[in-house]
Amino acid sequence: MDFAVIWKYLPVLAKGAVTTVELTALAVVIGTLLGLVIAFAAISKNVILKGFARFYTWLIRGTPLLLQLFLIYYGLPQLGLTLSPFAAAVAGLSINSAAYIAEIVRAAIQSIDKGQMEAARSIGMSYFQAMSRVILPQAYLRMIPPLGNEFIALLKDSSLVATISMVDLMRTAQQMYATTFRPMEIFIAAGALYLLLTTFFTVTFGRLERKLAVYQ
Amino acid sequence: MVKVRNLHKSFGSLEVLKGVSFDVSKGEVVCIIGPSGGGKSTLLRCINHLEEPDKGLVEIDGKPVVSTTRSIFRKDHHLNKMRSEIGMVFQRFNLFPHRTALDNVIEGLVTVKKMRRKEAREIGLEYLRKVGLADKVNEYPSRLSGGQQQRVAIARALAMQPKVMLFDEPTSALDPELVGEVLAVMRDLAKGGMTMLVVTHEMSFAREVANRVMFIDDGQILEEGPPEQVLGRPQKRRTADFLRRVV
Ligand SMILES: Nc1ncnc2c1ncn2[C@@H]1O[C@H](COP(=O)(O)OP(=O)(O)OP(=O)(O)O)[C@@H](O)[C@H]1O
Ligand SMILES: [Mg+2]
Repeated sequence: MDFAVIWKYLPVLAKGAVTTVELTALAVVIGTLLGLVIAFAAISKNVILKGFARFYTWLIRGTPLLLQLFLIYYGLPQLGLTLSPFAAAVAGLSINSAAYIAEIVRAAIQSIDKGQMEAARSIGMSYFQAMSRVILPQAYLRMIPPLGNEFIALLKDSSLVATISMVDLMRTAQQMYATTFRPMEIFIAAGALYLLLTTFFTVTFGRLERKLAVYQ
Repeated sequence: MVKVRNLHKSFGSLEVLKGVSFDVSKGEVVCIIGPSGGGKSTLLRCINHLEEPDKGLVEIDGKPVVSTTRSIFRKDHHLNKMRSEIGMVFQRFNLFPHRTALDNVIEGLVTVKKMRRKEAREIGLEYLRKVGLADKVNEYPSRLSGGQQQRVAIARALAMQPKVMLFDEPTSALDPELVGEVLAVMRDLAKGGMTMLVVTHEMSFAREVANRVMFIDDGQILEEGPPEQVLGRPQKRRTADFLRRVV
C-alpha cells in the first residue's frame, strides 16, 4: 500500500466522480418527475392510467438495471435510435429509478388518513388543492427516508454505466488500475469518494426530515 | 334550508340508505340517533356529497348538491361552492396535522375563498376565540387535547360561514371529561341560530338542544319528532329498545 498513489490520482478520480454526480443528479430529477406522474396514475380511478402504472413498475422492477442499460445503449441503435453513452445512461437510470420512486410516492400518499382528503374536500377545496396543500405536504415527510435510500442506491447503481462506455467514477478507477497496477489504492480512493457522496445524501435527507417534522 | 328527498345509497349489495326524506328549516337543530351501522354517517356524507347518492335529491338553500363533472382534472366549481357552505365536523377531528390551529382555521378562507392571509387571520382568530382557544392559536394539533382539537375543527368549519353544520358523533372519540367543552361550543352555536344536523349518542344534549330528533335504523327514518316525544315517549318498539340500550 502506498498512499502517495492515492493523492496522486485523486484529482483524476474526482473528475470521474463529477460525471457520477451529474448522472445521479439528472436521474434523480427526471426519475422523480417521471415517478410522480406514474404514482398519480397509480392512485387515479382511471383504469387505463392505473394499468399503465402497474405495468411500468412491474416491468422495470422485474428486470435488471444492467439489462435495461444494454437495451437502451446497444439495443436501440438496431431500431435506428443511437444514443450517446451519457444520454443512454441518464435515460436508463431515470427510467429505472422512476419505478421505485413511484412506489415510494404512491405508498406515502396512500398512507395518509382518508379523513384528511375528506376534511379538505368538505371545506370546498378541489382535488388538486387538497392534494397539494394537505396530502402531499404530509406525504413528503413519509417519503423522505425511503427516497434517501433510493437516491443512495441510485448513486451506487450508477456505477453500472461503466459497462456502456460511460467514464464515470467506477470506470475511471478501472482505467487507472489498468495503467498503474495499484488496485488496492485506486479502489479504496474510489470507494472513499462514493462514501463521501452517499454521506452527503444521508446528511441532507436527515436534515430535511428533521426540518419537515416540526409538527409532530 | 336543508331538503333531502328519497335518498338511496348502497355499497355493493349492501343497501345503507333506503329512501330518506326530510327538511330542516333555518336555525333548526336536528339530532340524529340510531344503532351502529344504521346509516347515520352515510346520510351526513351524502348531504355534502362525500358519498355520491345513488338516487334522490339534496338541496341546501334551494340549490342542489350535485357534482357537475366526472373528471378530477376539471374543477367542480358548483360542488366545491356548495361544500364550502356546508360545515362538517368529524368524529376523529381530521385536523391538518402539519398546520397550526390558526392555519387550520384559515386554510379554507385562503385556498377556497381566496382571501388575503391578513384578513383571513383576523377571522380565524375571531373563531378560535369563539371556541375558547385564543391561547392555542399557534399550536400544532399534536400538542392539543382531543377536546381542543375538536373545537379547532368546529372553528375551521365555522370560518367558512356555512349555512348548515353537520356533526358526525363529534364527541364519541373524546375522553368523558372532554365531552362537555365541545358540547358547550355546540350549544352556543345552536343558541346563535345555526342550522345543525347532529349525529350523537349524547341523549341529554339532544333533549336539551334539539328541536327535533330523528331515529334512523336500517337506512330509514323510523321515527321523528320533538325530543320529549321521541326520547320520552317513543312510538316505535325499535326506538324504545334502542333507547333502553344506550341509557
Ligand atoms: N365506504 C363504505 N364501503 C362499504 N361499506 C360501507 C362504507 N361506508 C359505510 N359502509 C357500511 O354501511 C353501513 C352504514 O354505515 P354508517 O357509517 O352510515 O353507519 P352509522 O349509522 O354511522 O353507524 P355508527 O353509529 O357505527 O357510526 C355499515 O354497515 C357500514 O359498514
Ligand atoms: Mg357513523
